[in-house]
Amino acid sequence: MRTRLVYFFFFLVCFQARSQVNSEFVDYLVISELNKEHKTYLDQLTLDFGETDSVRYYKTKFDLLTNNYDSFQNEFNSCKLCWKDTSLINYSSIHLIRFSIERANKFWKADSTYGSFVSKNSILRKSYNLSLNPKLDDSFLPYELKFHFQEYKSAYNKKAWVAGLLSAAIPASGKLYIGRGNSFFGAFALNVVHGIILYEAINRKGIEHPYTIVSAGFFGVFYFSNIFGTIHDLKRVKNERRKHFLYEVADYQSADLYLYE
Amino acid sequence: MTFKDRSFLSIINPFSYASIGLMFTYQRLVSQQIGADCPYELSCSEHAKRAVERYGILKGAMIGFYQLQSCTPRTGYDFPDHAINSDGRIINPIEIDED
Repeated sequence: MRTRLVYFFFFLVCFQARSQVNSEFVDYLVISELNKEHKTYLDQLTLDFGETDSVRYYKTKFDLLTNNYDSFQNEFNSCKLCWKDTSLINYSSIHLIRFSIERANKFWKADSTYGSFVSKNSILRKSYNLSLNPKLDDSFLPYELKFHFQEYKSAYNKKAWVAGLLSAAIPASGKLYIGRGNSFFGAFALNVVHGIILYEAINRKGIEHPYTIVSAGFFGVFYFSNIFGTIHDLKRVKNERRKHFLYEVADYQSADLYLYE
Repeated sequence: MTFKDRSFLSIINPFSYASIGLMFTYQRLVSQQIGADCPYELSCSEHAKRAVERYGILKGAMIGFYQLQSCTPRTGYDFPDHAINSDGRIINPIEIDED
């Protein structure tokens, strides 16, 4: 019994001595936004104890805090402790998706390789898959997010040829179709004015008059750029709605998740 | 934009250089005089200039003119929050990336 007690105190003292990172001090550095000091502290820990898992864990968090994503991914891949921390994985996914969707996807791939792929069950990851293929089952989405998904889905289903055809039939009406309704009247009025100018120029000065040719050039440029632009803009609308949906999911999932407690 | 990013048509077509030059002249001489205040992050002339550099004169001009006719006081309402920068201007990149 006495020997066990001695061992107990021996280990207690040893573990105290081996304690590498002062988490309270790190929290203080984070709250005070002392990033330079924070980095110096972590570098000093690396010099003192080497690249241990716990030091790497804090370095990973620091990289995420300072948006140093390349270093973050490298540190995370080699940190076993990080892959066991589900809340850190979820927080990282949310943080990364706001920076770049592709980077978040890369992170999830690393999770399946180095970690236990806990992120596959997160709403964000499932929503990402859903954004790639909106025909998948969306029953996992909570009520608050369904609206944003439907918004994305309606944009996803829009056809470029319909937008182009509408713009050709009635100038700028393709804008209404793709969801840029607020700039419809401006574009429509511009096309109508140029159309009227051209019509009057043909009637009054004849089709071969230089003024008519210039007017036709202006009308043609605005008319065709409107058709082409609507088709081009539809790609952007789809991309924007997708991002919006994923950001809303990220906001939803980020409740009660903190990088530092 | 690096030379490699530019389309082949944009590189060989002398009209591309002429139109970029015209845009440059407009920006230096006219735009400053009329005190243009654009709701977009890249003004129409800058956007068109870069689009011509990237895609060539035909597609570039189409993209430039599309932005010109999309510019109304209410245009900003068509865009979600993440497409507006901290100055309240619409972010309008030349490339429509998926990211």
